[in-house]
Amino acid sequence: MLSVLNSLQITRFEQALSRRELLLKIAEIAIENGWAKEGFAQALLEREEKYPTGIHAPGSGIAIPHADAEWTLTPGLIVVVLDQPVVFEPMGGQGGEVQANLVFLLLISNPDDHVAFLSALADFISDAGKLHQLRQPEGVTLLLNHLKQAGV
Amino acid sequence: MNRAAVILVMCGSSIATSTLAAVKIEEEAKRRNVSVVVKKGKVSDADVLLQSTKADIIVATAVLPPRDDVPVFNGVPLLTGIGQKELFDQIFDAVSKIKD
Repeated sequence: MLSVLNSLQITRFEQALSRRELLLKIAEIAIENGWAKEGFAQALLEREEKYPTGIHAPGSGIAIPHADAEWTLTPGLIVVVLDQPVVFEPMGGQGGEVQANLVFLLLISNPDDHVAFLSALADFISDAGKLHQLRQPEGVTLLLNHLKQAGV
Repeated sequence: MNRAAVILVMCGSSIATSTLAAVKIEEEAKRRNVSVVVKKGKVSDADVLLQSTKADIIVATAVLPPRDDVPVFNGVPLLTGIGQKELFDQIFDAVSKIKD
């Protein structure tokens, strides 16, 4: 089974970005890495407009944008640390707009293959301390270890 | 009720958040020793899926208008852990009230 651990990237943006600019940038990274097909950016934007993915997580605003599985070439995860929060609409429509300072771009092919990964990610985003540490330089190691321990 | 309750978990694409929410509901059902069948789908297919799965309860992580036929719960707490216990209590309370 392809593990997302083989295609995990953390990137940081210092500049202020609109949601559209951010999604276009990270979609481009996914395509350049060979993890998503051409056209992924548009699919990601449309999906986010229709079904927003902002989440009021403990101590942080986060978002987990993703598109349908057909766009994924290699399952992966791009974590974006934002120095300037980007506004996302809330998933499920409740709780008002989300000032996201962490974004997890999910590249999923077959969800049933990624249950361990998705559960581990949910545990991670439920933990205020871990989310905070993810913003530090050693954050990537922390996330990798968390996913490995969860058997991803 | 003599049969397992059917819980339909839905999100926008039926790939990420509904998978998570489904796993958590199955785990909690085991802990509570309640038998449930969890199905997944897209909110845009709600009407068709309700018919085909004969679901008793809907848990959605995307906006779904309230329905007259089955209770609808917002599943976002299953992703963040915030309010998760209360949501489980509500879901399994609804399960316990299902009649054959």
